[in-house]
Amino acid sequence: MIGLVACASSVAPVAEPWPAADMQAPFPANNAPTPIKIELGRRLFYDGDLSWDGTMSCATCHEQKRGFADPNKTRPGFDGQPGERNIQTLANVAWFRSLTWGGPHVDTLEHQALIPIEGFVPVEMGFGGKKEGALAQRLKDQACYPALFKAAFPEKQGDISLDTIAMALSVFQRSLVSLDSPYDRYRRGEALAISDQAKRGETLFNDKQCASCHAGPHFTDAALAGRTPYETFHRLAMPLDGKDAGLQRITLKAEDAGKFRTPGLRNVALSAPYMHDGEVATLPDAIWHHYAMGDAQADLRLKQTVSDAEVGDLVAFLNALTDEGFVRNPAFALPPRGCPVPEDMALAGDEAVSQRLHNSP
Amino acid sequence: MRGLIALGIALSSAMALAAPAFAQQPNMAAKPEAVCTAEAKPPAGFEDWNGKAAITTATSAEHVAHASLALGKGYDATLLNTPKVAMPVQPEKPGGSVAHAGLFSFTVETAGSYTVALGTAAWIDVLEDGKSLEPTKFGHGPECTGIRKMVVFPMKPGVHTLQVSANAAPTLKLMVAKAP
Repeated sequence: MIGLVACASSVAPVAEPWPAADMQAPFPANNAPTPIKIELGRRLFYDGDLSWDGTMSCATCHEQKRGFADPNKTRPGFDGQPGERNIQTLANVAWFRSLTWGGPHVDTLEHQALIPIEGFVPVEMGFGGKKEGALAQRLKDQACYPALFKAAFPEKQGDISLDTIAMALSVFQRSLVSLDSPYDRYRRGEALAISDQAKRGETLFNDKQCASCHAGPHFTDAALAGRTPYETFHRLAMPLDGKDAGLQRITLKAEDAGKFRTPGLRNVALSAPYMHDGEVATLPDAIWHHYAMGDAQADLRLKQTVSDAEVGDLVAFLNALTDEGFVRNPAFALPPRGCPVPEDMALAGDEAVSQRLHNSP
Repeated sequence: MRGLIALGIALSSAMALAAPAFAQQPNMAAKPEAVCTAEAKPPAGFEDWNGKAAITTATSAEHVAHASLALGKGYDATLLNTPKVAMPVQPEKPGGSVAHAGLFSFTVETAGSYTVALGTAAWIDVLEDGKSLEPTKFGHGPECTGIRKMVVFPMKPGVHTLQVSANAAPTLKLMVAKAP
C-alpha cells in the first residue's frame, strides 16, 4: 500500500455493482485483441530473447505465482546492474491510467513495454543503445515468430518491430484480469466467501481511509475514471530518504518529492516485499509503514492510530484479495514449447501461415 | 526478502538460505556483490570448486550419459545455445535463443541433500524419475569464492539429470556435491 496524502476519492465502496469475474478489460481501438495476438504477446512475455543476452524475460520479474510481481526488493538488470524500484503486479493493468511508480507520462502499456527493454535508468533487459532493429531481427530469424506476427498483425503485413512487439505484449497484459478473489465473491453476494476477521478488515480499510487511495475494484486510484495520471501520485507520512524523489524526478517540482503512484492491491499477499523500494518485507509492516510519524506535513489521516488487532484484521482483508484462479490460470503461464497452432488461424485466412505453424518445431 | 538478506550476511561462511516456498531466483542478487581483494576458500565439500575439468553439454536426454558429472569435482562446462539443447522438462526460466543451456547427468549413491553450485545465476532443474525436484534451499555462495548460486535438492539414489538454462555465456563453472 502506499500514501494517502491528498487522495480525494470517496472512502466508501464504489456505488456501482461489483465487477463480474469475467468482466472484459478495456482495449484501445488501435490495438484490439485477437486470440493470436494475445498468444503472441504471451510468448514474447516469457521469451528471454527480449533481453540482450537472452537471460531475462518479462516473466523473470513478473512471476505469475506472485501475482506477476517479484520477491526481491529490486531486480538487477540482465548484466547485474542494480534495479531501482520494486516490481509491480500486473493484475488488471488494463484499467490503469498510470503505469509506473514515478512517471505519470507513462500512461499506456504500449509505451511502458519498451522501458525495460530499451531503458537505461536502470538498465533492465539491455537493448538500449544497441544496433537499431536488433531485437526485431532476432525474432525475424526464428522459425515461429514471423508466422505469429503475420497472423497477429495482418493489417501491418506481419511487421516485426518494436511497435508490434509492444502492441502484442500490451494485449497480453490487458488480458491479465483478476476479479475472482474471495473478496470479489463476497462483494458479489457470497456472504461466507471471506472470514469475519476479513470483514472487520474491510470496514477498517474504509474507516482508516486506506480506500482513499487504494480505491475502487482495482484498489488504486490509478484505475479510477476521471483521474488524471498526475492525481494518482501521493506521498506517505515518511521523511524523504533522499534516495528516490519519485514524481519530482519527472516534474522537477518540490511539492512532488517523494510522491509515488498508488499501487493496486490485488494479490498483494503474494507480492512481497512492498513499497516503491521494496524495503518493507511483510503486510503488517507495510500497514505500519503508512502510519509512521516524523513528517509534520503529513496528512492528518495518517496520524490516526492503528492497533495490533486492527492490523491483523486489515491483513486478513488483504489476504482475501488473493485470486488463486488468476495465479494458476494456464492461459497466463509460460507457454508450452513449440509453435502454437491458434484456433483462429483459419480465420486468418492464410493457409500458408497455418501450415508453417503446424510444421514448426 | 530483507530477512533473507540479513541471514545471508550472517552466514558468511556458508550459503545464504532461503525459504523453500521461494523458488530459486536467477537473479537473487538483492545485495550488491562483495568487493573481493582475495579469493576465499570454498565451503566444505566444495574444495575442488576451482577445478577445471572439462565437460560439454549433452544435446538431448539420449546423450546425457556422455555428459556425466562426478560429485565433488569442479568443472568448466561448455554449453550450447538454448535451441540446440533438448531439455527433457521445460525449465521455468528457459532462456532465449541467444542464451546458453546445458544438460548433464550425475549419480547419487546414498539418499540425502545435494547442492548444485554455479558460477552464474542461471536457472537449475534437477530431474529425478523424470520430474523436476523442488529445492529445499537456495542462495548466493559464500562471498569471494566465485560461487554465485547454490541450490540444495533432496535426492534419492540413482542417476539424475541436471538442466541449466538462461546462462549468458557459453561456459559455466559448475559443481555438484553433498550439501555442506
